[in-house]
Amino acid sequence: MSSSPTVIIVGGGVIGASCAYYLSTCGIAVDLFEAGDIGGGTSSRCDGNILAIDKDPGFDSQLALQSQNLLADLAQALGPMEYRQPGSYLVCDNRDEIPMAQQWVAMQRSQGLDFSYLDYRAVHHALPDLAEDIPGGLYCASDATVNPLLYTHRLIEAARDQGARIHAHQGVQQILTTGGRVAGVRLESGETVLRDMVVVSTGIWAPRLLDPLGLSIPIRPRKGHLLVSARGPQFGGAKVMEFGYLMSKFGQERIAPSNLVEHGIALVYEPTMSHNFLLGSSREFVGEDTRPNPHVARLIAQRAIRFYPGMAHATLMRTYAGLRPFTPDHFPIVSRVHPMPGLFIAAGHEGDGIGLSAITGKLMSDLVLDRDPKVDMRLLQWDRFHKEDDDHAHP
Amino acid sequence: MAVEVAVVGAGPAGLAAAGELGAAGFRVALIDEYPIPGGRLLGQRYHWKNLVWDGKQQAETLVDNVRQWHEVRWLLQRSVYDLERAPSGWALSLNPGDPSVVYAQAVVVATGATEVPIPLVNWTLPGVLAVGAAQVMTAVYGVAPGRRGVVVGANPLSFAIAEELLEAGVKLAGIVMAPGSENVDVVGSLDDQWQRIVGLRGGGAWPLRTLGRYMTHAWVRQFLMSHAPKSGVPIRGVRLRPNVVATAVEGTERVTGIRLARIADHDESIREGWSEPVDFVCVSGGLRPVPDLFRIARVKTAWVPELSGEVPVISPWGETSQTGLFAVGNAIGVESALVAIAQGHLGAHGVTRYLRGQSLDYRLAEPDQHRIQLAREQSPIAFHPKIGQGVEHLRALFLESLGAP
Amino acid sequence: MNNTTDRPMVIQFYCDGEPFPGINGEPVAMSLWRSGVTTLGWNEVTGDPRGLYCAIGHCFECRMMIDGVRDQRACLYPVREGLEVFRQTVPTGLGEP
Repeated sequence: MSSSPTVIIVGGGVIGASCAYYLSTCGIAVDLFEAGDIGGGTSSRCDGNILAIDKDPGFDSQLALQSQNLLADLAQALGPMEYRQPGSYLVCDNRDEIPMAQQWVAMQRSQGLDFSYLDYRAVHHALPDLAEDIPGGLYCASDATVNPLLYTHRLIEAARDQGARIHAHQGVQQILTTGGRVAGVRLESGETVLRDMVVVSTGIWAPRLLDPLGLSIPIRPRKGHLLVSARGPQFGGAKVMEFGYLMSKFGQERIAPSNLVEHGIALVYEPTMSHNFLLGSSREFVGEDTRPNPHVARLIAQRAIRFYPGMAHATLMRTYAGLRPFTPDHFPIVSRVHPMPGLFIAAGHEGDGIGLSAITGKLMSDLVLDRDPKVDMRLLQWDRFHKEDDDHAHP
Repeated sequence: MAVEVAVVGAGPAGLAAAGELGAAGFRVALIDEYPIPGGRLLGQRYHWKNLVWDGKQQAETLVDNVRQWHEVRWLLQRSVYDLERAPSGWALSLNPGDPSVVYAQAVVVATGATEVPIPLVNWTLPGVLAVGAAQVMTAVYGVAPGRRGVVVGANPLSFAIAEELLEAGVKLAGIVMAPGSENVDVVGSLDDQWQRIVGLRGGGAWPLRTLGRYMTHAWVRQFLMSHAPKSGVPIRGVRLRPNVVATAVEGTERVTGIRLARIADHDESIREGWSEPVDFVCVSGGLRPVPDLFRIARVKTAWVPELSGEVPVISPWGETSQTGLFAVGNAIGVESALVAIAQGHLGAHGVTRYLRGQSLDYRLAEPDQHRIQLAREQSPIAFHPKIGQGVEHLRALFLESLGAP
Repeated sequence: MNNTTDRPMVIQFYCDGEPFPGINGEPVAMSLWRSGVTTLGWNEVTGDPRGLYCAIGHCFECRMMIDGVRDQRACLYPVREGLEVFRQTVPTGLGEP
């Protein structure tokens, strides 16, 4: 390990930007290559979730909390990025969900997290615009929200201030190796850039770079829609989601109309500082088509109106869809690739890219500098998916 | 509602198409966002050669021609926000609805063009208008945009509308240049703006036509830039101020003035500045085709600068890469209303063949294409000096697509 | 074609409760402009006055509450006797919703 490592980061979305920030802050010389515009991929087609409310107690939750804390610091250190910390809510669609909601709160509180169960009176007091029949819900105080594209740009600006070199509109075509080690990259222009270390943070496009090296990772694009309202009346200042989609964690079926389940429709309401709100969400595997589907958009709107009847009169400006990098166990890959010394992966954050970006960048700086990450990295290993036998020895 | 053809846009191209289709006996839905049909024709009143072009009257003639066919349903004040394939052809979603969906076997998209904005400091102040807005206000509704205004951006539309404003008794501080920008493709550098002026032919406007011919030479443009007086060169009563550029709008509740600066001789850097009192500002960045419905319908498009922007790749019958979806008018290239009308007729002929199962061999479109070319040659205004090249380029793209799998 | 080409019928409509004259069928924004009302709303974040820009329904700068429905384009909406129009955008600055 040279005293002053030089690293190539491939991909300038929020994950690559975070890696660039944390690595350059540690004095590492960084060259970041982004094929299009900074943040122009998935990071500009998502919402600003920074959540702990939906995380399983244990590793999942701890990772999310650490990232939330780092993000709160970043909000002070970086320029303005519409960061707010109003907490978030989960609301129950029907009475069958109530016992699970209560259980969820109890589990989280036993781990010391600031969750509260809200009965009928409490949830309607907190969220007066909710439909009358909503029986209850829960609240997590630490949850926050940010403007994801602004945040990505702030990370890049700060990385640049620390000496990182950012190359937009210069995509990487191939990772170069020599003698089984990373040697650098070949750009789409044909030019080669030689470095000892390469971090792959290209989200859904990570397999494209890794497959030619014989490294297989099960990242698949999962499409999610967002609706954007016009400026006007909002429906409360905190993010609100429906509890239903957590039901599978309890081995329960979510009780919802079949067309919602088919497209993975679940309410997400996110108010912004610009006097409008975003509505989600949907989850489906439909290849790489980002064209908004008006039927899905309609279903999302209908689901929102079910919870907020007053929203029926809100004006929507536009719809967009993004491809989130899905992994089978819902954890990202933040990992050294041992068979290929010098190669690192930071990808696969489906639905939690913004929320886990900070911890990912910090962990990547630990990995590159060979420091103790103080986190059990085995659960984020690149090759954990098809390990029948337990032979992963390297943390 | 189910029809045989849906025509989106009731401007000259859409009206011509609807009239032709109505005459052929088809069930047609003619859809437009505006409460009255006619599109941009409504505000046009130009003088060229010894004739007056009265757009409102042209529109009335086209409308009457459509109204005689009862099988043409008018759906005004409705926007088409979605266009997707349906088993019988196409489904168009309308807002505010009534009906909420129109099913059609074929569609003609004639949604026209939109104005290119020129951001200036404080340009959001009330009183800053797209130049077309000033035309609509004055010519269609008889509302003066103000007492004294200025037009920012020199192109054929600037001159045409400046003349209309003067005729309506509105005072103008002339036409000044827009700040050049490499980032704004269509507005372009100051030199690009000058080259646009070359597109003006206007029979009666002899100084402009001659000027236009000479301005193809760079040294002529340089000379004029250095030696034209600050107050401008009068052309048919409109003061063209070729070396004065607008930098900011002044005012608090609404426009009260425009900040101007002189351009240096050999480069476009700004020197001293001063203010002139105006109570409205017309922003004239030129027109560009609206590609929105084409993108929504997954139609193959191309960027053709001579046609002023992104246009669908179309066959000589006007059919796009999506079967049964045709495109006509300014949406396929910014040209005059005469061309749009001719294209409307062509599109209607193409749709007629399509619906009757007749051959759409592109070579059969030659007579209609010829009529469009004649209309092009008769037009007083060309919005781009190289429009012919643009048309050729689009045709070449179509022929290429025939070879593609 | 419409009332503006025949003898214009003058009607009375209301903006923010105040009566204004208009010609039946012309867009709300035109009637208001003729009466000197050029501010149709304000930017919610900066408080800057906003008004008519494109006049053909493309830019949405003219959005007002008309007939009880928000975000109607005043440059397209025809005026009629008794119509109620409200300026709907009230500046509250960038901040917590």
